Amino acid sequence: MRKLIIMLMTLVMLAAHGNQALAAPVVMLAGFQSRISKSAITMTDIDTSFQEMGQVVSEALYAELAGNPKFSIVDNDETASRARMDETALINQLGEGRINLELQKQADYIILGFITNVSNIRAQSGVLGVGGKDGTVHVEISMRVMDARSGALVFVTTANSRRKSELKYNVILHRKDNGLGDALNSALDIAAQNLAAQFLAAV
Amino acid sequence: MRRACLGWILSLCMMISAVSQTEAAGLFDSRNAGVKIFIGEIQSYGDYELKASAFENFADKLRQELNQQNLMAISNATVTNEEGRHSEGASGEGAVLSKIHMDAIVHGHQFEHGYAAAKLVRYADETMGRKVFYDDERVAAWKKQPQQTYFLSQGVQPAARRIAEKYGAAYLLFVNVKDVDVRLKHGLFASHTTKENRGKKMKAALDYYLINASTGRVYEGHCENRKTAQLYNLALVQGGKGMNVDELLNHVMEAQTDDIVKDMVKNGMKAVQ
Repeated sequence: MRKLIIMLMTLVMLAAHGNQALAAPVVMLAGFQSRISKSAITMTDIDTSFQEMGQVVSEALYAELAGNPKFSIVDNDETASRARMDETALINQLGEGRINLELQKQADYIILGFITNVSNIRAQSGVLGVGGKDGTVHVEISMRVMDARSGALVFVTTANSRRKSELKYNVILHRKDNGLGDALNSALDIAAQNLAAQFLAAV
Repeated sequence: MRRACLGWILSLCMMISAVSQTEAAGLFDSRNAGVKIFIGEIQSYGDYELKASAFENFADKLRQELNQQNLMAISNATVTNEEGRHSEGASGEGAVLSKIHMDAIVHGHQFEHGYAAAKLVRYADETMGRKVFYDDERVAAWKKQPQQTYFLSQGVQPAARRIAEKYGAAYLLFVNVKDVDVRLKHGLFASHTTKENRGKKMKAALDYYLINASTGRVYEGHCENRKTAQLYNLALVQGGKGMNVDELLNHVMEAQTDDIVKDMVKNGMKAVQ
């Protein structure tokens, strides 16, 4: 009987040790939210909704981070949506040192993403009808990585990207290109890649 | 007996397994080096203020800038401390952080009694007495030596030290984004193509407070930044750049965070030693 107990205990310890060595931190991607408000003097010429923009960035970021051996990433839509809905309550709770048992079971870190700036910058120059105009989409996003146990922000970074959305000039030739939607998607995608690169450099 | 032993071993196995799953290795452990600075609060105690989301953006930029200078910025999850700043009934860490911030402001060189938020004015009057701020000679003399450090009130120093110890930080940093002013330019030659391309100018002023947690010594920094954008169509000449308010604010905040961190590294951290 004693031998059996010793053998079982050894097995238990070995299993626990192996499990600990293999346990990679779980990172939950809780989507992107906008910190921009649409008003008459902010975004008037970009029709894409913030939900669509958030989806583009979220998918690009997930693709960049998935498969890294240092951590496993989860993007459970339902849980992520709840984490975002309860963001303020959750932050307050963790900030006060209270533990959220439900979250602890699901993730070690929570990535909270934000769209912080989207604009179409216009520039023009010309004399006597010779000149041009252009538009540049500028996107800026940020990421906060929160320790799911303590509520502390352990990593914060921002990334941005610029893409030409419009080009129009009159010299001898006349040319006009306009692709605001494509430029916006491309800028969001590149900004997400930049954000992922900074996250990977920090871990 | 045998069944009891087996049951005990199995439950031990499950417990260890559960613990090993939840105690994953720290993903950012390699970053735990260098000087730790706890960002206590990024808020406005001026009489004009921005939306909360603007402070959040500012906080993200500031942390990134600090990280780039190899300074380890830490904070609790509520870095803009909305509750501590705005709720009169707030208690706990948020309320304490707001008090430390206000204490640093009212003792500082930049404090303007007439242009401060009501909460700050009340705190200033309670702590130092209103008369102090209307002693014009004292105020003028104090403003002439902006680099001179000072101390938090005796009653506030232990609270600052406790918070710093809790987060393992050597310094506490507070930012008072006290004045952001946006003007739309309706000049004669301004472009009227679309609403967002009209000319705009933005001016922003802030003060920041770096506190040595162990001594309570405070360094006050101040910066003012401007950005203007305007498309113009003169008779035969056109030129300029047009951008929306968020873009302007973005430029201004980048300049501000850059100024803060440079000044802090060059002057602030030495001054509070």
